[in-house]
Amino acid sequence: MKLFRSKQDTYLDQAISELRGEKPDAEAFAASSERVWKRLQTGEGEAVATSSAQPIRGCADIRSLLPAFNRQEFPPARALIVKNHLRECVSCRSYAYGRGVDGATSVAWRMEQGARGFQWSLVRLTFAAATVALLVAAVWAGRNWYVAGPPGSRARIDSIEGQAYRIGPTGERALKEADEIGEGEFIRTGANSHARVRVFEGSQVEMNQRAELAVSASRRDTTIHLDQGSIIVQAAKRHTGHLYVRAPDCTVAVTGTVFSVNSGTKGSRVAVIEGEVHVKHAGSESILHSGDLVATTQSVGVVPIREEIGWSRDLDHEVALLAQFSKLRAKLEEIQTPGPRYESKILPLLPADTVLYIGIPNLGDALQRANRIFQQQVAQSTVLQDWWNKGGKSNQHPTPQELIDQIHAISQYLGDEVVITAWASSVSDSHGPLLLAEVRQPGLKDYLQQHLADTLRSGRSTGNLRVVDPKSLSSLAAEERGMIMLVTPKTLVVGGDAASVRQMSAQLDAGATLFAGTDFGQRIANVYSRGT
Amino acid sequence: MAAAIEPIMVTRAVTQLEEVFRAHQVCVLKAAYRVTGSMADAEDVSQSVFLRLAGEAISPNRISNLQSYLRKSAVNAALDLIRSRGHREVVPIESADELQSNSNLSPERVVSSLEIQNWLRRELATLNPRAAEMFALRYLEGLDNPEIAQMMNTSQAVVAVTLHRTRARLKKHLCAFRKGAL
Repeated sequence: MKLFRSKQDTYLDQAISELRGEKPDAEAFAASSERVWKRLQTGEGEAVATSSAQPIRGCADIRSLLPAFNRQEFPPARALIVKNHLRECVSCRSYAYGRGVDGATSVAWRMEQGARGFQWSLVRLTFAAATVALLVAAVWAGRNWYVAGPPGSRARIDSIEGQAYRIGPTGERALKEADEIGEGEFIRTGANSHARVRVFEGSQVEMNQRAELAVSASRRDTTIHLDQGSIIVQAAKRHTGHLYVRAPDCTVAVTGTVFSVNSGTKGSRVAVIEGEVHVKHAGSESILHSGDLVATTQSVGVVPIREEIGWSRDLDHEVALLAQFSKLRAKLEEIQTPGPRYESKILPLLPADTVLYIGIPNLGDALQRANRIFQQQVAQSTVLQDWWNKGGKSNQHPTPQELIDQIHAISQYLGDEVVITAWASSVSDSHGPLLLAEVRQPGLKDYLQQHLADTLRSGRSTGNLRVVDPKSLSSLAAEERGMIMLVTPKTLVVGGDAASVRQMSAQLDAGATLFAGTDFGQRIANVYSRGT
Repeated sequence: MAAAIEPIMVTRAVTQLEEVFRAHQVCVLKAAYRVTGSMADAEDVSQSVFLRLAGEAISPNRISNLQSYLRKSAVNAALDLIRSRGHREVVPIESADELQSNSNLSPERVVSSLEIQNWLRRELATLNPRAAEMFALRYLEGLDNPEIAQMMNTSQAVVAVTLHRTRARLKKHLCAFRKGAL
C-alpha cells in the first residue's frame, strides 16, 4: 500500500477537480434546460440532434448532411459550417450541384434515379467464360501435378536373402539387388526370405518373409501400402509432409523414427523402437512412443517388442537401441517441468482484437537438464553414439548442444512464460505473429548483441536478425523484414517485420487494454485461473 | 375514434418525457458540461440524449436505473463530441465571461486553470473510448467501481485495471505537458 501520493498524482487530481469544479450558475442551467425543452417540443430535434450526435469529420459527413442543409433544417451555426465547406471544397461543391466529381452522383433536392443494374454483354460473357475456363484448367493442372508426385522410381532394392518378386501390370518377376520399383508396383518376399528396401526419400524398410508392399508418393507425403507381413521402417527426417504406412486396418503416420508394422488377416500390430508415431485405427488415434505397442484387434494380441521384431537381421542393434531409449525415456520423465501458471503478465497488455494466443512455459531449465541427461547417456552407450552420428545430428550448425545452450541462456533473462500472439489488424496487414516474454533481469540486449557479433565473426549467417531497443526501433523502416528482437526493460518482443514490432511496442507503452474484458480474453483468463 | 386516440397517446408520451426531462435534465446537462466545457455543446448533448430516449424504442419504464442510464448516455455523447473535434482547441464563449466575472482569482490563475481543463479534455478525446468512459464516470461523475462495472457490463477488476492504466498514462502526459514538452 502506498503511504505517499506522488506529485504527479496530486497534479492529476488537481486537474480533475478543476474540471469537476467548473460549473455555471443555477440560472444558466435553468435557462439551458428551458432552451433544450423548447427545441425538443418544437421538433427542431431531429436536425439539431444531428449536430451533436453526428460530428463532421470530413467531406463524407458534409455530403451526408446536404439533404437536410438544402431543406434548411439546420440551425444557423451548423448551416454556416456546411456553407463554408462548400465554398472551400471544389469536390463537395460539385457534388452538391450534381456535377458528380470523384464518381459521386447528385443528391439532395433532385430526385434520385434508380441505379442501373449490372447487364451482361457479349464481351463480358466471353471474358467471364474465358476466366472460368482458365481457372478450371489451372486447378486441374495443379491437382495433377500434386497428386502425380515427383518423377522417377519410388524404391530401390538394397539387399535380398532368398526370393523377392515385383508384381506389376505386366505380371510377376523376380527381383535382384539394385532393382528400381515404380509407382503402382508391389514387392513381395517369398517364404524364408528377407529384403531391404530404400524408399526414394531416404527411409529404409526391412521386410520379413511373405511381406507385400508398394510405395506411392505425392509432392508432400510418401505412403507405404502394406498388404500383409512384417516390416521395420527407419523413417528419414523430412522438412515437410509425413511418411505413412497404410495397412488394411490402420494407418501409421511418422516423421523420422524407427518402428515395426505387422499386418495379417486377423489385424495389425504397431511397435515403436525409437521416436513417436501416430496410429489411426477403428476411428481412434493412438500416439505411441519408444517401447510402446498397439494391436488393432484383440485376436492379434500383444507380444513383447523383442519378440515382435525377433525376425530382424539387426535384432541386436534394434533391441539395444530400444533398451537405451527406454532407459532415456524413464530418466527424462523424472525431470521436473515448471509448475502451473495461474496468471499472465502479458495477457492484459495485448490488443483488444487479439485473435491468437499461445502461452508456452519457459522450459529453458528443463531443456538444459534433459540435454545433460541425454549427453550422459550418449557418452555411456555406443549404440546411441552410432545412432546420433548416423543421423548427422552432431555435424549440423548450430549443433543441438549449441542451440540448447543458447535457449537456456536466453531463458534465464525471461519470465515464466513465452506468448505467441497475433491480432486481427496485424493479420489483415499481412504481418506475422509476434513472440512476447516478460524480461526478468537486465542484460538480455547485451547478451543477444554479443551473440550476434560472435556469429558474424565466425562467418555464419545471422538470417537478418536485429536486436534493437525502443530508440533504435524507431530508426528502422516500417517495411524492414527479418527477425527483429525488441528488448525493453520489461519485455522482449520478437517479430518478422518492423511495423508489427513497432505497433506492439506502442501497445505495450499504452498499458492495459480491454482485451482481458473480451470473450476471448476472459476464456484465456479462466484457463489461467485453473492453472495451466 | 382512431384519430382521437392518437393525439391522446402523443400527449401522454410528451407528458412522460417532460417528467423524465424535468427530473434528470440538470444532471444530464452537468455531466455533458463537465466533459465538453461548453454550455452550447452540453445543450446539444442533452437534447440528443433525450431525443434518443423519446425517439427510439427505449421506454423510461423499462430502464431500471434511469439516472445512471442518462448520465452514461450524456458522458458518451459528450465524449463523442470532443473526440470529433480532434486536436482543435475550442474555447467556449462563456469562459470569457467567467474570466471577467471570477474576480477572486488572478487572471494568470484562471488562464492556467483553463489550460489544464482543455488539456484534460483533449486527453479524454485521445483515450480508448471505453477507458475514457470509465474515467469520466469515475472521476467526473464520482461513481464507484462496482457501479461502473455494472453499468458497463464488466468486472470490477477490469474497471480497476483500466482506471489505473488510464491514470498512469494521464500522469505521464500531464508531467510532459507541465514541462512544456507537449
